[in-house]
Amino acid sequence: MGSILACRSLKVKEPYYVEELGLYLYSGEELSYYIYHNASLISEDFLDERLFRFIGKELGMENLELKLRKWADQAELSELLLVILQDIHYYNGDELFAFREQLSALSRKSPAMRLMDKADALFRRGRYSTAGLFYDRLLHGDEPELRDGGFTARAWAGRGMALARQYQWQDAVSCLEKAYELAPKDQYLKKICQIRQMNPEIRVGEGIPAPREEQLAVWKQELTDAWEQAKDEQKVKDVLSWLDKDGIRRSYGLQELVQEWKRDFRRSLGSV
Amino acid sequence: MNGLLLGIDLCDDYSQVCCLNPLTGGVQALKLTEEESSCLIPTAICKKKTADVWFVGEEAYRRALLNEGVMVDKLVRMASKEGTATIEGVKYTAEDMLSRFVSMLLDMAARTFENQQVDCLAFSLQQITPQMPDLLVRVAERCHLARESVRVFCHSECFVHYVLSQPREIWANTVSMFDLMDDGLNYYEMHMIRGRRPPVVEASREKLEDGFSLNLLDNESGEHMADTILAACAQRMLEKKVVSSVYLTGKGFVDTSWAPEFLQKVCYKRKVFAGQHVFASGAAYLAGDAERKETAYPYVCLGEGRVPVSVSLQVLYEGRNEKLMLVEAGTNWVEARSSVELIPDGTNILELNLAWAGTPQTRKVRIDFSGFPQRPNKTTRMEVIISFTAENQMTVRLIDRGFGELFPASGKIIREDIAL
Repeated sequence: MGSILACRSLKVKEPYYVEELGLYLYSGEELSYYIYHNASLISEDFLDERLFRFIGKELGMENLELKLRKWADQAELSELLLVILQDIHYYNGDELFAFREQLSALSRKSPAMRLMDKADALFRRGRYSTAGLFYDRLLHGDEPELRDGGFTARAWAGRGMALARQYQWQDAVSCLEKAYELAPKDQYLKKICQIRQMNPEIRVGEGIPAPREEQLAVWKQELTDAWEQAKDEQKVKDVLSWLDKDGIRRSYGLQELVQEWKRDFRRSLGSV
Repeated sequence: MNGLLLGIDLCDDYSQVCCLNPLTGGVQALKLTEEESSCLIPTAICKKKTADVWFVGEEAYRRALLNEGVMVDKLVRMASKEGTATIEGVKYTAEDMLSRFVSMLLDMAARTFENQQVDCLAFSLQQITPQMPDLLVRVAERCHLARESVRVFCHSECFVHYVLSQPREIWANTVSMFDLMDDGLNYYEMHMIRGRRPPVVEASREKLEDGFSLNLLDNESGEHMADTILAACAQRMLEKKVVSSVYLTGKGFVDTSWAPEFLQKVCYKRKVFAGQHVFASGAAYLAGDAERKETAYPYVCLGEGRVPVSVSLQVLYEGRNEKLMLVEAGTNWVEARSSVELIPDGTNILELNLAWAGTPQTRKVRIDFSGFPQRPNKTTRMEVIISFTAENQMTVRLIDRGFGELFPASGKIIREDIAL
């Protein structure tokens, strides 16, 4: 049995900008959602003047603002994040308990693991350029985890995939090759093969073995299926719907779509 | 509050204008001459031939009779049917003509009451069709009034508020009113249901004797027949009721000497008032009330023009389970519009609770919004808009507002029309 949450009716004049994700938050509910699902992205500097002003002035939660200002230098970040979530009431008791567990698990992680989590979270949010920078920072650090081939391979693979999402295919394959050399897993080989399938001109290093035939057939099929599935994507439907329109509207609509995609792409590069 | 508080009763045959004096609480009718009937302004407009000069009311009839212009009447009915009239080869919409008519009434009011500014204008209509409120707002805007200063009420509501503005002994029990106009005889009745908090006022309207026409009063035998018909109606409507007062209004009661039998019936142990501006005065009182911070009528009004149900839903607000009231029973249906933003948590159904005022009757209305885009739980902000197209016809619209930039809105709308 579900329930219905009533939103606060206050209209936000100046939304809160989240640099990591390149987007604006317009309500307390969105702020809660961001905190809850991106704890790994949040660091101490999150609790700054900009956030206090947003909470107090825009969300009209002066009491919460005062609390945060008072405790900002005394309490731990995780405690203050919980205070924010509790006061906004977007999450219920069970969800807050799960968040507390998540924070606790996060705090037990090493700096390298946290950096990896942060890079992964940025990648999941489509911030490929920034994610790539964090994988890079990890790979050029001297964290003890880097002595573990599996861990380093994950970072290289992450960096490779972030580059692939920016259409830098050759560099992406180079990173994936390094990942495979450190930990020869099929998943890395598969990515290399699929990138090559899409871009036959890509060169692959001599250290990378050719996949078995049956393996290659499966991966090719997966890629073909992905192409087919992509036809059902909203973006494709949007294009098709504009193609049905008359010349003037089609041209206008498609231009708008391309502008939107450009904005999305720039956002993925971290330049909104 | 420095401007006029006006009530305009717009009927197909006659219109009336009243102005409320907020200091004395009294209402003054706009009279074109000193005659009692001169507050009845024929709802007609006449364009002078070959000139852009317009006349309204009796002057419109006079000019048309003198063949000096082209007259159009029945403006309200024409406007509700979105009709047009062609005068000298130019097509005018009913809205154009009604705007000119209202504008000229407002000019007359400004001259009579020596004030150009209007703080609130309340229209009174016999019956409010779904398109009339918007049309009257547009008309008022064309008369340079802000849309927020326009209110629209039906005759029953104006009758109730006129009566409630009179001394309490007048409405101690049931109050009845006979309205005799060109288009027939209407009977109104209101009574207070005591012992409720807030007290409930119930009002009703009934059209009596469909064939009854003022033409009957053109000769003596017709007058006698009309008197007999009215007396029978009075007997039927008033018997076995404790009626404190009876109002007689409309063109047919400008002179009551033709109805001795009827008067004998209605005057028995009751206060009887004959007057011409009940609806326009009621509208003016409502215009005055709209400008007050706190209403002077702390009652739940039920009946024609008023929403019979309270609409609410159960929500979680700041972690507490609360009943969110969207529409209160007794609200004027034109103004009974409410909008709220909600976030569903683990459900695709919105359940509205309807509770009929004055009865234990309740009903649950479930609206399925699974047609909205699929997103993670609690990431769809949904705007719920409730509005009415008549007192017993509710429309609920659910609009997908997304979840900020995290999950952009699709703008998809789910609409449900609910007969009450």
